[in-house]
Amino acid sequence: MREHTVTLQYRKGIHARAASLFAKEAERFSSKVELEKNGVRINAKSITGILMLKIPFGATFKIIVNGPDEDECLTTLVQLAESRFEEEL
Amino acid sequence: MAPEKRPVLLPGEKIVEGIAIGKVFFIDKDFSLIPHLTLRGGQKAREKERRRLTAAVKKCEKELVSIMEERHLPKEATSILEAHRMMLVDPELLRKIGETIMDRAVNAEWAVLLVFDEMMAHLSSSDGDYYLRAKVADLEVIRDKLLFSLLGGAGRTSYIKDLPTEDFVLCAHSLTLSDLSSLAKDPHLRGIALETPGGVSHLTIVLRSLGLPTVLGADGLLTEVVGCDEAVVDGLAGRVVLSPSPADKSAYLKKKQAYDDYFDRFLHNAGRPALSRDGSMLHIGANIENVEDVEPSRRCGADFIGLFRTELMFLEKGDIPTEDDHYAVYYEMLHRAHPMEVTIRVFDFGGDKEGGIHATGAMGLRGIRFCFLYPDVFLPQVRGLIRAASLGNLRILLPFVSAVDEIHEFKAILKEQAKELKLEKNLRHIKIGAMIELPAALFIAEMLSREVDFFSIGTNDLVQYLMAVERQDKALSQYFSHFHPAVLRALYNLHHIAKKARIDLSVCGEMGGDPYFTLLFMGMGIHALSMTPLAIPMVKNIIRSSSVEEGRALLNRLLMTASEMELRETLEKEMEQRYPDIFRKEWLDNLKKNGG
Repeated sequence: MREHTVTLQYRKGIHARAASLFAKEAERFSSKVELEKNGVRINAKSITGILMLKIPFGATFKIIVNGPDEDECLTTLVQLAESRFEEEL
Repeated sequence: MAPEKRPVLLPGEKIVEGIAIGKVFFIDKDFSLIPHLTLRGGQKAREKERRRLTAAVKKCEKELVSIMEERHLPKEATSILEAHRMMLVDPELLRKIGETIMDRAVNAEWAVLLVFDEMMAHLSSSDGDYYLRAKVADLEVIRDKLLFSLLGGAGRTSYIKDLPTEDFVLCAHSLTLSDLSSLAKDPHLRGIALETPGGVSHLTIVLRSLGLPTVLGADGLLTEVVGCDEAVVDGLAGRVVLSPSPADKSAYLKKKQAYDDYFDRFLHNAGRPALSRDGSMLHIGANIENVEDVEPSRRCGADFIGLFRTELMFLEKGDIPTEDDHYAVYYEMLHRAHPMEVTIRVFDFGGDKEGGIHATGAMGLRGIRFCFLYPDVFLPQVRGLIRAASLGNLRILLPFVSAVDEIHEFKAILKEQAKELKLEKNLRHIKIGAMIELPAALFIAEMLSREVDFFSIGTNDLVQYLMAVERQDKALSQYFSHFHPAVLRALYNLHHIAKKARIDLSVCGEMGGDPYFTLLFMGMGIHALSMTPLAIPMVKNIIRSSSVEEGRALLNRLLMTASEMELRETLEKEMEQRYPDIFRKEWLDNLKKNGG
């Protein structure tokens, strides 16, 4: 199992489109992926789960991955959370 | 126990003039009218609800996917739709709704409401999140899609029930066209007030054709209406009065009487021809949506049917109408309207129009373009029209024409289908017309005029495309004005082109029925106008009390006006002075406000 704490750099906070991108990326990996914020943990492959976590701009949250491809999965998701939304959305 | 409600006055936009007073009937946005059922029958009944849920999800997903695939949407729109699709099929969400059905023994609709309520409440509790509204709105979209699908799409109207048995006014946020058409059948419905802004949407068009006093854009209506027993829809001043005081009420009853008398006086003379004082005859047509509108149009004094919109057939059927469906409607229409000429416009799906199929927004895939692209929708209509053609005076109107080739293509289709039906002889009964509503059509009007039998100017769309302003955009509504000199000059040029080609020309759309323009149209030499039936009596009255000569003088004065405001003000002042009887002072404010 690996985890990493990130700070969201996307100004609009995680809205539906951002959440869908995130869930899609998570879905690509066979590892179990979870997000944790303020003690609440959700399945990162569920878009509604991500939305319910309410992650605004500048918030910190934890990405927790567990499985065979966890290294690559974590790198991808951390990168996404810290930068890529701006280009994508 | 509840204290007596104080009167509340909400300003809005008047859509149909007149006064309505009655009991409040309101459709809440909170879906209190959606069935909330507790399940009996144990496990089996719950499993059944779960299966309904799964089926509804599948149906919604299919719809979303087909929208994404069929339309060429900008990237941003596709990504939103994709996010919606993912939310819809999210296993976590489905598990939650499924569990709610099983644990609480409620029907699928109720379970959807419960789960979404909880999620939205959770989201709304976040503090200082600027983008919160967007997130909640996304959830709302998914929830409504699911509910709509669960309630069976077109069958949805069934949840509007327990209508009052005495006169009532309808208050709601907005209405779907299917809700409206079922409500309109109720004999006790007197007036309509909605929160949704008016603009020139299909909803507004249908509301106008109903002719009940209507006010739209009444912000805050749903909050204020709770606990109100009675309401007044003041379609003259453009406002809604909730819980009117006894004094208000009696004043409104007087105003209502005065207006009804005023209107009846014009209605009384409506059957007389629109013959100007100097002997020029104008033909006044009615724009209608239904076969049932023919008789009321006649009573209002219509000389012909200037526009029969066929899109509603889709709604009523909930599916693609067959050749026989079309034939039955057109047969009835031509039969009832005889000997009047009937102009049938082929399908024109726009962004705001509902139907069994998806069309893009105001731009792009509309009208004849859509028809050519979807032969399975269009050919049955063409065949129905050909079969009905020998029964009366049929004119086929092609919307959204932008090229001469489109007329050629339509004629080729017509010929081919007539040949297949062995009804080539019917073709000689058919006149073909082009709707002039795109700037492109304006500039090639001369070429188009050689290919068609008539022009119909769709002023609503023409203004929209000339001014590059979306019809529904409330923030930009000052630009959506048919008082803009560009519109007047476009009409002036078109008239000359049509005259030179010796083809008919009629002005449709709201401008055609705007009494402020009647005299100008006469001055241009325009011989046909088509409008919502209720506008006919007044327009005919103006024509009968004016001369073409007067109109020409007014036109010459205004044709060189460059400013929209100047044109509007001059025209208003001029008309109000000339016809104080029609443009009555006490009703003027709102007429002016809605001139644009």
